[in-house]
Amino acid sequence: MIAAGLDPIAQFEIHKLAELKIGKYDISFTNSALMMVITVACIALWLLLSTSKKSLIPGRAQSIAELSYEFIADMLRSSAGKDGMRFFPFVFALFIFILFANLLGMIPFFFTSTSHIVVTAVLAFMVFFIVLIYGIYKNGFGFLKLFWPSGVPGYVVWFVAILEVISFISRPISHSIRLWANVMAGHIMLKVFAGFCIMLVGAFGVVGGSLAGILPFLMTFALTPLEFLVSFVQAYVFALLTCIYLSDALHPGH
Amino acid sequence: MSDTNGKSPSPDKDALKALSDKLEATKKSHQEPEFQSEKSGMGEGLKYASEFSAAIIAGAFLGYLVDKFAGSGPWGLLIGLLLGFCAGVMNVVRAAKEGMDGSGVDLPPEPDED
Repeated sequence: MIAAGLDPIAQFEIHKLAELKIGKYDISFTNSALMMVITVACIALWLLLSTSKKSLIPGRAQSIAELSYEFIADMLRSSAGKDGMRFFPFVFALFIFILFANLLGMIPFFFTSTSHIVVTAVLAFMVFFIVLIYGIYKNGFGFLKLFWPSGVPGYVVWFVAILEVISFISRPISHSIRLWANVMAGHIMLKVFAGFCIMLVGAFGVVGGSLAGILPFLMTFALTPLEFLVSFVQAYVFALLTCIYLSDALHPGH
Repeated sequence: MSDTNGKSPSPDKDALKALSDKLEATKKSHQEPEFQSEKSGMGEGLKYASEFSAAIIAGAFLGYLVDKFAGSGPWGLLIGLLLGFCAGVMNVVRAAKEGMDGSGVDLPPEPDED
């Protein structure tokens, strides 16, 4: 049972909290779903409370809310242009959801919903299909210019075009893998190093184990703030890549 | 000033030097206004790994689909894998070139091909 407590993968296990079935599909309410509900509730509570006063000179909470608005708006404007602002609600929701899910996952014994590739892949494919559908809707066949390389000699142009198509299809995969792998690897690393301390105490007794456990403890100590940084950076990278992909939908062919 | 016997030629020179040192230190500490992002090697490595592997997965998937609908044996999958490999290299080169490391720095302009 101590092995079960130290298992670095056990933290990603999905438990069913309430059985639910529609037809043959299992849509049970799991701990991952619970964490996502908590995430959304936290975001809603935060934004509602911080913007409830609507004062001209913002207080502390309101200026944080305004700051996060400005942060995403600037990013979207600089990478997708002015007309990218119609996607602002989408990008803002993505960024804040991932950020809160990551940060809540850093609380001990909390589940991190973004540590499952299903969750990040759904988000990434949502971006992918929005880019695809909106790009075709707005540009028609002009969207295909995205795949047509400029300044490439005629005899390899088809080859490069095929590579561009594969590269385009690979976008949601790499988009989702980056967030998922960073979050999951970080959590496993934290658990492994923290688990070393316990294992060393178990192996060498309290005194010797505590002395030997200083090194992995220091490692855990150093990794924890790094993981908070990764939580933020990965949410930022996800939103930034979304902006870049959206700008392709708006202005294909650069 | 000539009557100072070797000891601290002028007090304001020392003060000036101390001030300039302080100024340099302050300048240095304000050097990085944009936040330090993804300086962790793991994030950097995962970026290239995901870019590369994603293209291979996508290429293999496309080849598999071609096989499934055209019934062309393993050839679609094989060629798809190879094309995916090429696209992966292209992805990695592009990711390295554009500096898309989430640092908030503007992407350098692409070298304009004519």
